[in-house]
Amino acid sequence: MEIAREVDKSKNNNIKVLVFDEPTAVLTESEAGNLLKILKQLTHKGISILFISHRLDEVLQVSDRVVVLRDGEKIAEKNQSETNIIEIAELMVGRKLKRLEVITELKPQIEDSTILKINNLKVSMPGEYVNGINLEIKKGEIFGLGGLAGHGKVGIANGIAGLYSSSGEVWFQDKPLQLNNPYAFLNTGLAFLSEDRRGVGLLLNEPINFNICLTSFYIKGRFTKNLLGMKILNQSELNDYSKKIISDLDIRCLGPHQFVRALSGGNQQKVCIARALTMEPKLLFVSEPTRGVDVGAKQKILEVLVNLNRRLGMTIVFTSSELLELRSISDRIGIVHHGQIADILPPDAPDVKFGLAMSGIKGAVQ
Amino acid sequence: MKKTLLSLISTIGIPRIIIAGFLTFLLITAFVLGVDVNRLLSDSLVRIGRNGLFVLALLPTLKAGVGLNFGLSLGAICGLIGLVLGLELGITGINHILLALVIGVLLAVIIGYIYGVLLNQTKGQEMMVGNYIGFATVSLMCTFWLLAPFRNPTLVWAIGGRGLRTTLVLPGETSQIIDNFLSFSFFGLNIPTGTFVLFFLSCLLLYFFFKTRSGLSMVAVGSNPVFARASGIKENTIRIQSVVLSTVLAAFGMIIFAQSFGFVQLYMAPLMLPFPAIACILIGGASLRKATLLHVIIGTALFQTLLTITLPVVTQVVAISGEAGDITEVLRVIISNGLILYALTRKGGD
Repeated sequence: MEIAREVDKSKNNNIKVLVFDEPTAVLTESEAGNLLKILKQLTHKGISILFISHRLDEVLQVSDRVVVLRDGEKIAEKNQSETNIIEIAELMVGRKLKRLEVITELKPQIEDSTILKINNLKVSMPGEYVNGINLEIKKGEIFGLGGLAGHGKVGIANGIAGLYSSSGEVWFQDKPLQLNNPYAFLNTGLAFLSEDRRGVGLLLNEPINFNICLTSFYIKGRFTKNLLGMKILNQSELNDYSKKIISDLDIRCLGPHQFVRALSGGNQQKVCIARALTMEPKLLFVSEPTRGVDVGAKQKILEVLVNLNRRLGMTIVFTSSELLELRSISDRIGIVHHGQIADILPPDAPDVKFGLAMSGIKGAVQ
Repeated sequence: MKKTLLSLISTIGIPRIIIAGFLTFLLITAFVLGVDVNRLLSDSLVRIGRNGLFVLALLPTLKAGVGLNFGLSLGAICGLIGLVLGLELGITGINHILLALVIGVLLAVIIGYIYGVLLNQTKGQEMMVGNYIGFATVSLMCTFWLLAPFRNPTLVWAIGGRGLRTTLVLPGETSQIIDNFLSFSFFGLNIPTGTFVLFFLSCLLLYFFFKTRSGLSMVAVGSNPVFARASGIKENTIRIQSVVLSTVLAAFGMIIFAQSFGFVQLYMAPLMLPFPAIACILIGGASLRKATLLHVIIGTALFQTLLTITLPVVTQVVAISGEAGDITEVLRVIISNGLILYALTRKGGD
């Protein structure tokens, strides 16, 4: 409706340039087709149109010239007749970047059995669109989740962890998992590292050791001792454990009693990881662990994840908006488009496949 | 050596050192002016014991992020009902205290639960809402005191035979029974041992409580509710628990206060009760973000001593300079409300 009104206005008034930002995202396929036809007609009347979309086929269908942007930079400018969908997809992903070298002398031990089965998962999370995810995660793998911002990759883990209301069916080790219940999620042997480190992942005004222990103290009753029949926190056991994990994860701090607020982003993230590890989960959801973290810490965090997987056999579902990272450590990568899994690719699949999957085209190009 | 001294100063906090210095100065002045210093100190100790539990009652809600419990009077009223029932039935001595405790705590659990549910519905404005609820309930209870079917002739108005009097005298067997338990004299100071032991015992219990599952969840909810939720903690339940605990402690505090004071004050008496208690915990160094048992103890000691000592000394000084009149109450109000205002402007805490 709104689009029709704007288009109508442009016919009457003396408008020269029209900007469309993802106009087809809210339309059905036939409506989108109609819109594209109308846009073509408008250009014949001398109106210039700036058409912004992640749907590459539409872009090529209507545009005369195509500009590709990536990470806030202009990557390429092509005439429509000189290019094709494969080239644009490659440009969008960026082939020049090389993989991060993550040291992995150990081979992954992926079993055939499914550890987590997701059926028609829908999550209502602001800014994320998860609409019917179907996915099977194998025991022992690192499963990457990628896709463009707002398409729902972040919402999947948040929904299963019970932070946002969700519907659908999730089975963990062949047992149904109760949704919308963070306690059940944690108690079943899952853990979640939130993308919102400061908002969800940490108690900024509490010391490191308290951050590390709280969840497992609450859920599993770790670090307790008896006092006249009351179960209370065992401070000395906690301190010993904290010191050990601080050195294991190389958390740069003054000691287990330092407040988390005083740490750098990378070290805060390591505290989050330490907290998740203390839960000893069988499956770990990790969302954007390297966001806002310096390069050195980034490498360390990815190494920690790989080591967890290789040494402890922990299954990891790794969500990231950096495709490069996903391809460095994942065994399989699912690309989310418009709230659904568009494609599942091996990490060494050609760039073009990732690019196409991100714009919702599955396996169209061989 | 220098380093340990500096860290000691920063733990105690400069404001508290200044206040303590001021107190010392006042004591010396009092001595010079010929005020009975021993009596002042004895009075201070009695007041610390009397008010300590009210201040302690503020701790659970502060820890759970519900803020300062301005509805402390709710708990106090529960304690008052327990005491009055004991009087009506003619029970005296330790049995009176125990009966009041059982009834008071039971009522406080029920009232605290309802109050907690209400505060959950008005998240973000707990302190204002608590204040209103406190005021409203005190006024409502005025009707109750007047209409409740109490018949004991020593309690009701002599004319008409209905309605409780504003101030009820506790019988000698009940009055100061806990204050005098194991009480002794120390260099002329009377130490109200029983009350102090009870206060520190309650502090100790709360200390261990904050190391249990419920206690630590309270700290987590207060520090970051979203984190708590992601850790499987039920935020609203924990908040209600903290309010119930606070209300129960306030009821307990009221009973201890009354036995020490020797009177049960009804009607509008509990109206302003939360304010001095809040001033205590704030002067002790607590903020809306961070409050500990140490803040409770230091705050109660400093504030109550300040009130007890400042006023006679200042009155004396004013009297010397020739101006007559008593400015004690004025000072009390200025100090306590000023402190609350000061603490609210510094929400972040230092």
